[in-house]
Amino acid sequence: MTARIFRKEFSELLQSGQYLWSSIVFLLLLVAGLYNGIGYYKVEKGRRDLAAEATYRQWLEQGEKNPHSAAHYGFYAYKPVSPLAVLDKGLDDYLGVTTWLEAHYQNETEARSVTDKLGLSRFGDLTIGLLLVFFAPLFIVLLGYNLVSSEKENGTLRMIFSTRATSARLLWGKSLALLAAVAVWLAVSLGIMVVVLVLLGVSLSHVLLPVLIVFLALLVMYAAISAGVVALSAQSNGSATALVSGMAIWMLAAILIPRLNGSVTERVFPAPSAFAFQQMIDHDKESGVDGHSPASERNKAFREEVLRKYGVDSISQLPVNFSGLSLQTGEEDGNKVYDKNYSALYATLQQQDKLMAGLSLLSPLAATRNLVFGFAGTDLHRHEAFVQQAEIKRRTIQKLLNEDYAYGGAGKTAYTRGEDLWGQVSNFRFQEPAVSVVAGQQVLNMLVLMVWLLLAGVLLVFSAKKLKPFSA
Amino acid sequence: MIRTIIRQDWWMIRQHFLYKLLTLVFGVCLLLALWNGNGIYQSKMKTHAAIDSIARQQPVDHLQQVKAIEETGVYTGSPFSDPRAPYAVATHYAARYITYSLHPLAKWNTGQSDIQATYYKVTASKRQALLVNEEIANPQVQFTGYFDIAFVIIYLLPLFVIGFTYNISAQENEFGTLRMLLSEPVSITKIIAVKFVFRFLLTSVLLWTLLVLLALVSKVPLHDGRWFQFAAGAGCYTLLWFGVSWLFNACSRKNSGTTASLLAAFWLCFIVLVPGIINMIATGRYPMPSRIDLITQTREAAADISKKNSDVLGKYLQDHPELVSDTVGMNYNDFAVKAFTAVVETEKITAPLRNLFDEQLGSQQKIAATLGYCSPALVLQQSFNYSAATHEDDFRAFKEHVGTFFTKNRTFHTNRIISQKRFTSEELSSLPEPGAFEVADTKKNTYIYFVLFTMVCLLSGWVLMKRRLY
Repeated sequence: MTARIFRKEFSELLQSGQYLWSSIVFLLLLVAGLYNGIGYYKVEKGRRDLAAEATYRQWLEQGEKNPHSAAHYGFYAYKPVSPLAVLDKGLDDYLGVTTWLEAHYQNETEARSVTDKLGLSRFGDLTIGLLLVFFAPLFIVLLGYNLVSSEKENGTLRMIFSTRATSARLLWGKSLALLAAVAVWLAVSLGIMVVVLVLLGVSLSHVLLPVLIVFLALLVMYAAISAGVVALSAQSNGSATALVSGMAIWMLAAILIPRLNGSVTERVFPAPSAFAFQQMIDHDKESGVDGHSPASERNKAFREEVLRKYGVDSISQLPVNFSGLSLQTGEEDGNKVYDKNYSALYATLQQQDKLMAGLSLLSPLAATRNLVFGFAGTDLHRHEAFVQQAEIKRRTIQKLLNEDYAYGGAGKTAYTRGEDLWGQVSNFRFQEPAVSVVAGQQVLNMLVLMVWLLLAGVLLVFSAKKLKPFSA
Repeated sequence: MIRTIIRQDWWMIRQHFLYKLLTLVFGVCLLLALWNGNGIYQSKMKTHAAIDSIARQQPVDHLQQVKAIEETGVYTGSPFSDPRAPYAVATHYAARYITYSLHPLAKWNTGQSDIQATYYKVTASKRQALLVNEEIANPQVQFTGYFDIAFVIIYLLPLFVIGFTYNISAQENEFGTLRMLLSEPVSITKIIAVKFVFRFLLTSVLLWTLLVLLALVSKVPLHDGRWFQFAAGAGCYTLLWFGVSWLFNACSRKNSGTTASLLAAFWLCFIVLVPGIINMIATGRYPMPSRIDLITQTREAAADISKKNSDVLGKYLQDHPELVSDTVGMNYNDFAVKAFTAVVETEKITAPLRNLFDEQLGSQQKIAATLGYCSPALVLQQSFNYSAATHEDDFRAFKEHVGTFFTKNRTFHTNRIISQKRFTSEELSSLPEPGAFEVADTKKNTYIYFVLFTMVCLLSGWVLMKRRLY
């Protein structure tokens, strides 16, 4: 019986004027989102690929110089744009795209495009993700608000109950029909996007699994919302009340709660200011990570240790270049300072993210948005992976150059090297986190979605019990 | 008769649970927004206070260090750290801090203050050092935007108005009281109009009272004109939404669901969609150059210059003939001389690309200013940003102020580095100092726009109402 109700409702929905108009609006928004996404991906990919090649060429062609001068010259690591940024560029505008790998400093990532944008960009860009996560639920409300209430208003509910249909079967059938109608849009949107990505030269195997997961996550969210809307329609006194309540809940979930989440989170777990962060780094560099080892004492102790190790009385007698050794020790001390401070900073950001994910229990839309950003590769986790990989690269380069200086430059007043050494450093290649790693980061958001699906199911069952023939 | 309508409407408002709920939610949202905005503001002020303290202490410490060396005549440190050496002074000891004084209204409207730098550390080093001085913030929070009072007014106030008015016209039909009203000697249009005016006045009194109370609680000055600009903008926006609601009530007089749908569609379109479309048009027409390209070009230019470094000082001296008369002691191969003259030359080469950022942003802004009138939310946001001094124009002016000082400071120190003369304690008082930055008091008269928009809605609605389709 549920299947029959489903078929009847689905067919009626597809033939309705509401569905036709909603589909036209949805398609127009999809085209705009796709246009934005493709434009962003193509331009950014071209820019970053060219810049990555250029910076490495500049590194190789920097000419003969001391390895430490080369270490200061350094080069830039570029974060490649994720192909699924076509789906949603997420936090990309708010995150830097490159970091300068140079001696002594773990530099912040640079080139956040949001600082070069107008204030109106804060209203948000139109992306496929925005359409699927925020607007599609509104369409579900508009398509489903009167699925049961109109049966009551038209007096057809008694007729339905005179057949073998029970209230539970009726509501399940209608919910599934509503879900199927929206799932058509979802499948079309993601299908077109995948075809476009393949035409852009992206490997299908690279994007298929994340797209499938996004599809399933959105399907779960739509299922929860469809069930919720049908339950609301069954509970309401009339279609108008169902519509107004549905839209109010959508506005709450789409606009109010995500914004409130972020703001509350930042107040509960405040991050240090850039100024305070720099001061902490300067302080630790000067006093050591334990706070009791001044730089001058550390330098003195290291010098004595090296002299003792080589059994000589002065630096000039050393069989190695002391500056090279000292630079590497300085790097290692600096690394400890950066590890300590960046770990604390990222721990704070992760606490914020966890709290935000927890608070998204109040809105399935916020949880789904985070999940889409994660699988699209436009969230903070991927950025952190980039920062970590770039820093590992920086440290590898510094070690190579300092050791060359220490062991190759012994006894030479003007030690220089050329492309043969610079060529030993490979260009930076970002290793994309595996889908399983991304899935691990999104467990909380997935759980939130499942909780919402469960709640919606319970609500539907509850509504079915309350829906009696005499309510018609 | 008007009194009777108002009395009945007031009774109905008091009875209706939805209205009480809406008022409560709106009030709670304003309080939450204030708590949040205040937290962000206080955190910034704390940082600024720490910076101001260092900015005051740094010249004092520098002077003491130089005096100590002059008194003893002994300096044992590295030549790169000598507090008298022009290079060390230029890059370290003469660092100056400039902060942007946030107006207390920034508690109500974060605007662009979370994205744009509100403080700079200026030394005579590379210009790039100015650009990477960005604040640490969770990008997800910045992406979503802050829950401040401006957000509550721009996004939620219209929903409050919609909830308060969506069924004024249709409820008589839905409650079955329409026939009774039609038998009265007063026109139905007049009854609806009186209810609208009454509810608008009620909302305005509530809004203005809340804004005065919030100003008193959050110590926002009521007298300097900025608060009034903010409050008047919010008031006009309320008027506009009542006008829009009047129009849609006139369009659909029998079904409040349809009125609510139309109002929600308008809200969605003009608050969420239109700004995104305008942004798309502006950035599509005048695309921004990339900071990535600037990095690549800067390094290309620097590499070219380092290959012909001996010419660079000559070029610099051509631009600064005042230095040519005193070339004794100049060392063309000095590291600092080479580095500074090379940076100046590199910046000359990259200046066109750097300037392109401002040019494109200016062009985008012109388009946005014209098309922005399509969205009342956008107009109000701009007005709020100006009144709270958190507009992109304010931060651009601040950046220019910093840039002007940077140029003056760098010219001074580059000349000093080239002349290779150490600083004495007396000379330290002649180091360039940044003046305080004065935030412009920009007044954007947007009231006419809101009033005109409302008039159009009211007149159109009046015509539709008069068609008497009951």
